[in-house]
Order: sequence, then C-alpha cells, then structure tokens
Amino acid sequence: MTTTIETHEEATEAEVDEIVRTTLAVLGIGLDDLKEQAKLGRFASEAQRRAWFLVSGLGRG
Amino acid sequence: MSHLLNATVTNGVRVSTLTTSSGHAVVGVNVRKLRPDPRPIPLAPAGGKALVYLYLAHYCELDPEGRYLTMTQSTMSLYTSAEMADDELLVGIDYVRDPTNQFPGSHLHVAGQRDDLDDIYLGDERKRRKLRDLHLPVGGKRFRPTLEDLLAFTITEEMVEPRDGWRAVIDEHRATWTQVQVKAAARRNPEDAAAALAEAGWTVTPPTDP
Repeated sequence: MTTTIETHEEATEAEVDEIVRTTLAVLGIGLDDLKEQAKLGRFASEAQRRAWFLVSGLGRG
Repeated sequence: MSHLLNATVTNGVRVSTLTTSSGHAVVGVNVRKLRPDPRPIPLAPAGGKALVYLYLAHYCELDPEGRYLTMTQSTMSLYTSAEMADDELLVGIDYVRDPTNQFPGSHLHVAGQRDDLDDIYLGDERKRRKLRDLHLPVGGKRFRPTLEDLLAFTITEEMVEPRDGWRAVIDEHRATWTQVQVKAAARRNPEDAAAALAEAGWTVTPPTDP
C-alpha cells in the first residue's frame, strides 16, 4: 500500500502531552500500566490496545 | 490509500495525518489534532448498514534527515460493529518495527472462545489467556500482510459487496507494494539479489564503491 496524504495537521509537544493525557483519562488507566500491558503483549481491552498504538506511535511509549 | 479504499469497499473516506514537532506522525482516516485516534470505517460502498468496520492506523517517523517517513508501527483491524468492543474483533493485523516484548513484530490477533489455552501456557506472568492475546506470526517485517490483503479478505469471504473493478484496483496497489518491498529487500541483501539475478542469466557487476 502506498499513501497520499490529503489533509495534514501539526501538533506541538505540549499538545501531544495533552492528547496522551486525554487518551489515558478516557480509559481510566495510567501510562505505566499501559506500558506494562504492552510489555506482556496482552491488553485488558481492545480500546487499550488501540490506545497503546496511539501513545507509543506519538513517541510517548 | 483513499483510492484503494474508495475504489473497493468504502465510500468517501479521506486520509489525513497528524505530525508532531519531534517527527512522529499518525496516518489514518479523519485523524485530527483534537481527535487523533482514527474512526472506524464502515465497509459499505453502496451505503446502508455495514457488516464490518475497519480500524486503520499507521504510525511513522521522519528519518534523521527529516525527508522520508518510515513506518514504525501499524494496526489494521476488522470489527463487527463501530463500537469496536473486545468480542467484536474479527482479525487485527499489527506491525511493530521494534517490539518491546518477545513477540514477532508482524503478527495478527483473532478473537474467539477457547477453553484450553491456559492448559498450554507455561508462563507465570498472568493467570488467564484469551485467544486474542495470542500473537500469530505473519510474514515478517518485509512481507507482512497488507491493507490490500485485508480488504480482499473481506470481499472473498463475502462480508462486503465491493465496487465493480475491485480486483484490478487491489492488484494494482498490491503490485506497487510488492515492488517497493522487493527493492528494499534487494538493497538490504545485495549479494543475495545479485546471486539470484545471476542464476537467472543476468550479468551483475558490483559497484566499485559499495
């Protein structure tokens, strides 16, 4: 698959921090807990698996 | 990506990206700064209620020169509803370039009920194991399953009524992907590539300054 980007936005590092904070708050989980689940390769829920991709993909893993 | 999706199993989706000042990027459908997690995509090109939904998220980083994006991880998952609940996962194809655990970076998850998985678990890190916890290895970094494969799966397994001409579109995108991966594999394994070409009758001359 090749990708052509159609729209684009930029986030500051402070905004990334806020994205991560909000993501974790919605799930009611801490970053250390999510990291531990990733280390074990087992997530408590699909929502947490997807959240880990987002958090780590933004460089906060 | 939009063309691949909209010419086969979706209707009007648009790929967007969110980048950060540290060089990370999220690529997905309708990714926004205020809502960076991609939304599930209904696979119903003619409208109406979809039977399956696609969650698609690619994560990339800029190379040190800041010129090219390299995919660091991705997840492509099919669910049976837009809620994307645990027991609604049909299949999830994950890729992690540099895994932080012992599991293969290219793997897939499936959900379902098995009662005997704990009987074949020797570890002591957890008490229970579900089917979707397993990391089924697929293809390795270079030849892992693609979005094209996943979309074709939904069509050939008759979960989606595709658009006319879907097969040609998938073949075209798949050929491009394969070409990119084969070239990359050859660049990283030049002696093997040269040997294979020589066996096929090509004359291959190594560079004077490799």
